[in-house]
Amino acid sequence: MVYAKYTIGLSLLVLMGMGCKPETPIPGSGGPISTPDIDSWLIPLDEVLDGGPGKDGILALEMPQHVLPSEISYLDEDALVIGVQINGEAIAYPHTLLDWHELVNDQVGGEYITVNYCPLTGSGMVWNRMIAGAPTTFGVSGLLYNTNLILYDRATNSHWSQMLRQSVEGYHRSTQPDQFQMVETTWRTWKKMAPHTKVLTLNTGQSRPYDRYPYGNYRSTDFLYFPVRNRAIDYDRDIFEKERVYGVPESGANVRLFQFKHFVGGALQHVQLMSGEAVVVGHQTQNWMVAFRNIIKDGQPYRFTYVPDALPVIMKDDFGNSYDVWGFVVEGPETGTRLQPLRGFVAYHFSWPAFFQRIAY
Amino acid sequence: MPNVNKGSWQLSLNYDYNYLARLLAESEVLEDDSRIRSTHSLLLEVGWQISDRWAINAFVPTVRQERLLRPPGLPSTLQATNGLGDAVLMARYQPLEWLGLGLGAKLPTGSYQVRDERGIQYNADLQPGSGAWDGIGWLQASLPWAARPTGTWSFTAIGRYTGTNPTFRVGQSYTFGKDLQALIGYTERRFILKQLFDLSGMARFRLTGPDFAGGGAIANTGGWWLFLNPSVTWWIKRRFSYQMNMEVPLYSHVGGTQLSPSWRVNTGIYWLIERTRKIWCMPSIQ
Repeated sequence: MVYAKYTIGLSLLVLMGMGCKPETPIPGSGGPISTPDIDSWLIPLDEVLDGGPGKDGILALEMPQHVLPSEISYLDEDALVIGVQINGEAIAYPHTLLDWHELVNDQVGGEYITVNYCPLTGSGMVWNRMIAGAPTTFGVSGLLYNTNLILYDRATNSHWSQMLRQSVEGYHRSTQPDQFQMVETTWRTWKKMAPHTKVLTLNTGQSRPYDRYPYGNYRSTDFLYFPVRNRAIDYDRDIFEKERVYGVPESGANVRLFQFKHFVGGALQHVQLMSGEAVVVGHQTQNWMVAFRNIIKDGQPYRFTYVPDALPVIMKDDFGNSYDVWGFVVEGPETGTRLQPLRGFVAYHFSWPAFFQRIAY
Repeated sequence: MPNVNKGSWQLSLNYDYNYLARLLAESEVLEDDSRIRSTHSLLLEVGWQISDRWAINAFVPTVRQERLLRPPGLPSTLQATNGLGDAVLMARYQPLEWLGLGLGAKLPTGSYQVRDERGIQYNADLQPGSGAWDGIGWLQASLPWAARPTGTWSFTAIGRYTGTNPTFRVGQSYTFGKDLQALIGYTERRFILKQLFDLSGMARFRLTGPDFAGGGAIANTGGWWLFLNPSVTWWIKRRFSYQMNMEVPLYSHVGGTQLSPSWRVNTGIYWLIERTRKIWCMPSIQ
């Protein structure tokens, strides 16, 4: 019944011509890398902790209602949202709701997605919930690894570590989810990035005090509810442990981190990652950062320049191309082409060394 | 337990069921019936009257903790732990006929590392024990009502200074919230159908601080509650009684958002083994 509803939704989108610019999720492994061993975990079992509420004790939102921004009043302009734009359809998922529900199983632009957000590590992503060719939904397992969300998929009950971006136990063990590009930013900024956006309402079908943050002073203290790995390692201790830091995971257990303070007033960095040239763009007060694989032309990477006050356009290159926040060339000779987005996301600073062995700034 | 003749023993065995199904945001009741926490306890208490004024009590619980999740449209999940709980030893002193004082300790006898079938350690609140030593102070005043010889007013205060379990998890300590309770009530002794009954009504106030893990306060723990607790005790024999009481919250104000008690029932038997048959002392209200 649910699947039939999805099919109708997709058909309408196609009929309305909204599927003309297909969104391709950033691929994961697409399937199990190794032979599933459902009885064992890829992570140390003694570091998998009961978070307290139990399985589905924190209840995901299922296909929530999307409304126009003019129809809501609960969001402050500076409130953070996870913004998604797929095949022309843009939806904002406010932290206000994600703090309470952590997961939203939704359908956007004809794609099955799970927006997942861990309030304890401050990490948010958008996964494709088509797993091994079939749509599933994810739930909150009630378990944590390094104080970070462990999801479970309802088709096979496999467990998935959010920040490892991998199934760590069960039938899908070792499978990596495909990820959709998303932008985490303020509500005010998101509306500029996606003027046609819709947003979730407080009419979630669940009774929660959405006007309150559920974890007290957690965001403003260095106290953690649960132990994490490598908390005392010798990384830059001048950074507040709950500072929101943008990270671009690389191959192996490497990650490159970017602090918002280096993007005051809007800025752009050309960086050399292990996997090649990249460009990272962000704005401190608008609270967003995105990263793309750079283009190499005649042996030279493109040079980009930040474009202020032109959202959704964020940068241009030396060839007269202007790029929006999704990496699409929206003006210039290469209009319609797109930079490859990297799988970056924001998380609290303490959480990066818990999941990545080598950290570069 | 009341003060009795020197050398006497007192035994009680009670079953206690605490049912938590109200999800509160501070004092606001949320419309959510998807989760239930409950605790079954079998409580054995033994008291020995050392002298006319001094007594010691030992209290040994066995506990079953349950967590039931029944999210709408999804399968229900029941998780439970069983085991010996934390025992309590208390020395009681009765300086005046109407006043009792006590000082005791809660011993970390219960397991705090129970794991589920996958080997994952349950959260602290689901464990039968805490793994910590607590200090307990107790005061009880019982005053007969001059206007009504069959009536007794009582006031009880209990403070619990909770200790820390330094090894709850690898690299993490855990401390349950410090706790203060005050009970005030009235008991009426009546013969009903030629049987002796104590009928009482109590108001219980409970104030609990937040739990701490790794040194920081955990959100959504602690709070204060006011309960109404009616009870009846049937004196089947002169030294043997059966009691039953239940408790319902009159007002609750929790820290953050958390499950809060819906009701509680406690029932059990009491047996006084007197060393001598000098005077039958009526047990005071508990």
